[in-house]
Amino acid sequence: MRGDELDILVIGEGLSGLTAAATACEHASRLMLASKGPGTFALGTACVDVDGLDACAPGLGANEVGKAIAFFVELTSAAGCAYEGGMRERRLVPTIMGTFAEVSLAPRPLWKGDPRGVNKAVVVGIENVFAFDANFVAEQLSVHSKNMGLPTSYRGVVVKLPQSQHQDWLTPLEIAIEIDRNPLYGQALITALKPVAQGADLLIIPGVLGLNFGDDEIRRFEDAVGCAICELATLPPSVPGLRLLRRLESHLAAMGGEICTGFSVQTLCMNGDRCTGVVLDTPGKPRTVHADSVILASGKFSRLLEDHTAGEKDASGRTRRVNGELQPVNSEGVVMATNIFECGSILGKFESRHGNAMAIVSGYQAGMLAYQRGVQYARQ
Amino acid sequence: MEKTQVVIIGGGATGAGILRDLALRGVPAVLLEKKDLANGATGRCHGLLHSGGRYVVKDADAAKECISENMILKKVAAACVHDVGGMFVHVRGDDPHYVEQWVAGCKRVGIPIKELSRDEALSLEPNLPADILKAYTCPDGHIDVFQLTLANIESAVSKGATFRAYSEVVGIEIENHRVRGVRYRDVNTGEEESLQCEIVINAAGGWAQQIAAMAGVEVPVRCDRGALLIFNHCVVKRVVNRCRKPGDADILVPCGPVCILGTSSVTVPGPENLTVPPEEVEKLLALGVELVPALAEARLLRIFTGARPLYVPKSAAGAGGREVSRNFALLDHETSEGIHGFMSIVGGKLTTYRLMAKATADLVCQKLHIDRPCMTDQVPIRDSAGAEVLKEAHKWMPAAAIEKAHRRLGSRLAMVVKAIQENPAMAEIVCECELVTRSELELVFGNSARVPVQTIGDVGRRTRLGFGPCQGTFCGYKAMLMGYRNNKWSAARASQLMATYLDDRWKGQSWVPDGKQAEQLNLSQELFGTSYNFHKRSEVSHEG
Repeated sequence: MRGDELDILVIGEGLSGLTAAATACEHASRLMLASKGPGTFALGTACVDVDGLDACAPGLGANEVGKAIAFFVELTSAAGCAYEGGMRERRLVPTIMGTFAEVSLAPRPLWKGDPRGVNKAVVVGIENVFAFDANFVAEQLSVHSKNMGLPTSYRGVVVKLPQSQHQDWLTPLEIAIEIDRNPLYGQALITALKPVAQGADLLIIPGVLGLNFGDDEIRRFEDAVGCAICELATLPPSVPGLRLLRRLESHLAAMGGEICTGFSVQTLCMNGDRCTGVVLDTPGKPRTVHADSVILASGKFSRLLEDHTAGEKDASGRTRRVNGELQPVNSEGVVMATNIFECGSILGKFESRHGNAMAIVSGYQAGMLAYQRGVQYARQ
Repeated sequence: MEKTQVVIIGGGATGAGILRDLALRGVPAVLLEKKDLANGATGRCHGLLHSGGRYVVKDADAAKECISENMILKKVAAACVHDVGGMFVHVRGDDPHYVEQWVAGCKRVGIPIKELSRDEALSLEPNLPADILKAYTCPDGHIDVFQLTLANIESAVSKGATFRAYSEVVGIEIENHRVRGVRYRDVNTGEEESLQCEIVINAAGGWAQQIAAMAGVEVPVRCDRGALLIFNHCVVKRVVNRCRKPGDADILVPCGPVCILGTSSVTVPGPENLTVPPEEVEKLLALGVELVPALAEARLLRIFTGARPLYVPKSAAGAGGREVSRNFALLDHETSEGIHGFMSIVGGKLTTYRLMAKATADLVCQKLHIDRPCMTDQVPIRDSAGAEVLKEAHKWMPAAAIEKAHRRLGSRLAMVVKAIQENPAMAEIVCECELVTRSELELVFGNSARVPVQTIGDVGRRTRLGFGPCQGTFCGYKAMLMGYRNNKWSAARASQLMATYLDDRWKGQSWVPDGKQAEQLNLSQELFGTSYNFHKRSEVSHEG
């Protein structure tokens, strides 16, 4: 553990916290990301929908959005969990409900699932993996692609994998862990998929490829199977989201950030209009961490600022106010803490499909602001 | 045309109880229910097996019925009753005079109570307020309402009776003042069917008026809505009652992994489209905290509401919901309106469902000149699995899962264990809160299910799947896939059912004030709404 005197402390390990930390980390020498646990983005498909975001979040010009998205694409690529897509792109990605979601960016293994340009797709299930049904997904995807006038055909196939050593049934997460641990298990999956891939343009599989799989490993896996592979996010805990989280964490650590997860923040230490640090709920003795700037990315259910707002919630009880500098303000518009910068889905009302896009954009901005402000304070 | 001797309308505890009572006496009968079993008041109550204590002061007759039925049900319906015991607590500020009346009343009616010192009471129930004045134990219990109804129907079906869910009665055929049969509509296909019979029993609870009207008869039933709050764990081990004049939120019942606080009393026009205003939730919660302060910190999972179908004869028309007697009435429309073969069983309460069924079946037998005694106070409602099966089960399943599955399945636990022996993957727990195995789900969807399922919610009423903190977000999806795999429904139909199921699960959570459950609800709506682009929440959604 390094010293408890930081330039920047980020609270929350969702998409916004991770983006903010990565942004600020390029400039801050002492940065810590503290969180209770993974954010919700790791539970879903982690897709990003930017379309129409600038229109419904006034103050966010296309330029700002574009910069943040470009940063995120670069970040994930450098972290080995590349996103495909961009601000002006639209893709259809399949889901475990057999529907398509229209998105602007998606993790590469999911991005490939767009039906356009695919003639024959095979949805592959694995025997005794209960919470995924290849035939159900295939049947529904056929209906939906037909409704859109697409010629893509979907067929469901169930393959068999060796039994797990630990229990009699398999879950996608356990398969992924087994593949990480035992290369032969990954080989068994390749052997099972090869015959299925004959004549197919695309294999759609539940998210089971190793948690440690980066872009290169996935590419090698595809080459071995001989077909493009689209990996779906299954019910939580699902592999693609967790994999992304791990990759971004290790990338951040490699950039010099400290990651401290598993402990919730007990309180914010306030001194007038400045937050001097936080108390982390570490076992035995709570750990106090001091920071010049604090990025609050603890999510819309966080009650961290509540003690200091003394009833300054608005009618919805949720949507907290921030000013243009992302500083929290009370109902009279007075800044509550000059060195707290908020990001994530707490910023205002927007469509829920924009949640991840909002997280990236506000996380990027909060990261920049925290750094710039920190420099200003240092100069004073 | 299809024929039977008796048609029962309404698949609540009463209707199911009548079906079984008649089956045990060898009288052929068909039960028609417009939705699934326990859709009305039965499935929307505390599940309290009353000792009678609540009624001793005001309504000694109802109290007497309760204590006598309480003893019988603990014996014959042991699989569906959790004999957790109960406690009446005199909270500071409540009328001490009422406590005296209550103690005297219990003595008079014959309800076994025992006074506890404050220390004794607090050591049994540490979450009570530290300054309680008096406490008494009593023989209350918890009834799993879905299992009770299911067990009655299963037992009847195994003896040749018929249960038809999603069959809505649309007409009663009467010729020369005599019942000839009923017409009913298959809710799924919309097709109408006729069923000839000699006797029609109206056991439709809150819908009894509508059914009676089909025969041109008026039945004075008043719907009295009550709201109930479900918390995610048991803050009490036994039923805790507030010892005062019955009022809102003065009963807390532990129900397996959750506990239920209730209730309120609001007269409503009918049993459908019920909602709970936020003020009512706040009030119930505040009162609940007075009785058990730990509720303030507990996670409120869901709020549900149902309508008590109270029997209000003209003489009592002015009385409020809590003043109307909980006694039941068996109305023979032959003696009152001259319609031979039509009767209504109204009022009463869950605890006395068996007695209501007995009285009804007695009248049916009298009319049909059948001389066979009621057996429901003797024959256990569900058999149990042998020691061998339980021993084998312990090799494959966690002990807690066996206990729950054994209660739900009785001797059919053997089938679940056998399937697991053949394919050990069948031991996978599909619903983590209620510990439902994949093998049990196979049984629910399979051909040997005595009471088939048609929706995902039906699966919950058989197994309690989706009743815990996730509220079906994860296990509901798995149940949907299971129905699809078992050719119960197509992929398109499965999707449609999933959307309806999510609406229903979300509705009860949306009434919960901002709290810990909001995160769970948000996750569910984000997953199925945004991530899977499948089903967005809608403001209007009623299960009816």
